[in-house]
Amino acid sequence: MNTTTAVANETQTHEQITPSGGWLNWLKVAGLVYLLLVAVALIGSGFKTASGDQAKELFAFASDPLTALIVGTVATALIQSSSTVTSIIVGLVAGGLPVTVAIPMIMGANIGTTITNTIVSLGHVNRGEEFRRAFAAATVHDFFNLICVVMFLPLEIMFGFLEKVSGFMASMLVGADSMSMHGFDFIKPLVKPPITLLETAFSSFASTQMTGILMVVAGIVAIFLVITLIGKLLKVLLVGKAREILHSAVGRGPVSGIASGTLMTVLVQSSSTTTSLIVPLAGSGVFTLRQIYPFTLGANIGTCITALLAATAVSGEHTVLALQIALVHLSYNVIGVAVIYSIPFLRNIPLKAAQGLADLTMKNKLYAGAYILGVFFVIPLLLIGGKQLLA
Amino acid sequence: MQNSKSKRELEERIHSLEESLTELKRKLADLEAEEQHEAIDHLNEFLHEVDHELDSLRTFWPEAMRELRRMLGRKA
Repeated sequence: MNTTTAVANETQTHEQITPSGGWLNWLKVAGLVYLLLVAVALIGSGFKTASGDQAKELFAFASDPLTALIVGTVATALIQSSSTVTSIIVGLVAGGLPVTVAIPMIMGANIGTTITNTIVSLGHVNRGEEFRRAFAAATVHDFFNLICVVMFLPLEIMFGFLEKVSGFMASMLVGADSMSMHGFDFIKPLVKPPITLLETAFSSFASTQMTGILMVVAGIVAIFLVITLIGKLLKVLLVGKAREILHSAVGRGPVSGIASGTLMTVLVQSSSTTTSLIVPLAGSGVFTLRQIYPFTLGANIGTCITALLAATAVSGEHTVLALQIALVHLSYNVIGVAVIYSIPFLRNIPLKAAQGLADLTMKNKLYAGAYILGVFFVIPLLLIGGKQLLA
Repeated sequence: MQNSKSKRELEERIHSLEESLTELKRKLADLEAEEQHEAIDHLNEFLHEVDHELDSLRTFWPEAMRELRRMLGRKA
């Protein structure tokens, strides 16, 4: 099937979804959001059941920040969805995974998610200058996220500033008598019945520990499926809205670009979709790299909504911690954009690096493949291997 | 007197050129914005690319292999 036919079929499918069953599709989205909450709570309960009080020991292998960062990067690059990975992390924190281990994982998820738009840009490989522009537009996001980690991970290790900031915000929101999130307690009775049902079903043939493991696995699979389906539905339902948002951002400067990128990602619940959609726009040369750059940064902020949503599913002793890790994701991305984009020297590094790499790939296309394999898989695994050898 | 006249003339010409430049820049920005709006109108078509990133890898693979053969051939 050639591309034109495929696009025509795709458009037909999209049209089938959009106008007719509008309310039905929104009902499906609501159902999927409910399943997402159930899945996150399932991971939390399962992890608690499986590990007992040993959650910290279970993740001892990732207790050093570099390993945790790599776990987050590789897992997200493989799944190609930071929303999935961050929701799983929220569930694991709810089950006892220490926040200090989860923070570098969240940072890694930010790096891993950039693989999708880079792969999308490879589709332009036969189109000369268009490939150079598309590849640069994709990798500017990668370089921004890499710089964020280089700057903020050491600061986090030394001072734990994200942990402190998010901890303060979480305690303000969930805290005892303060402005609280007790309003979200209505979610607990909603998600509890299916979890109890699954726990009873699994425990009828498995040991306590195995029941917990099965719950975690079921939760992970469910999150993956649910986020994929939500993404597909929202993409089709909201493509018109996304167009409106993009139209309104034209010619309005970087702040508007960041806001539009954020809003669009909140709507489609996927930073990969947002950043991948602008790759062809940049490739065509209609938008410059400098114009699409703020838009990709907005996608980083917008994607945090999923983890925040996931955190509302958590109840019990780790409610604050689950919310805290979701707020780590948000504050990390907001601070990253605010700091790096507001300092001209730092702001230009991703632009220059992306342009430099795109120039190299024009000389030899293998650089593109080597870059993807190297950054997302080979270098991370070599670092872990090297660390193991040294240990 | 002569100097002050030619100076005024020069200032007027600069002012007029600056006005023309501003007008041209505005026209260019309008043209670019129009192109951008047109491209955004085709956003639906890009959804296919986003949904089928494996197709991008399939397009890239033969190109990468060709490049690799060319490199190896050059070395041999």
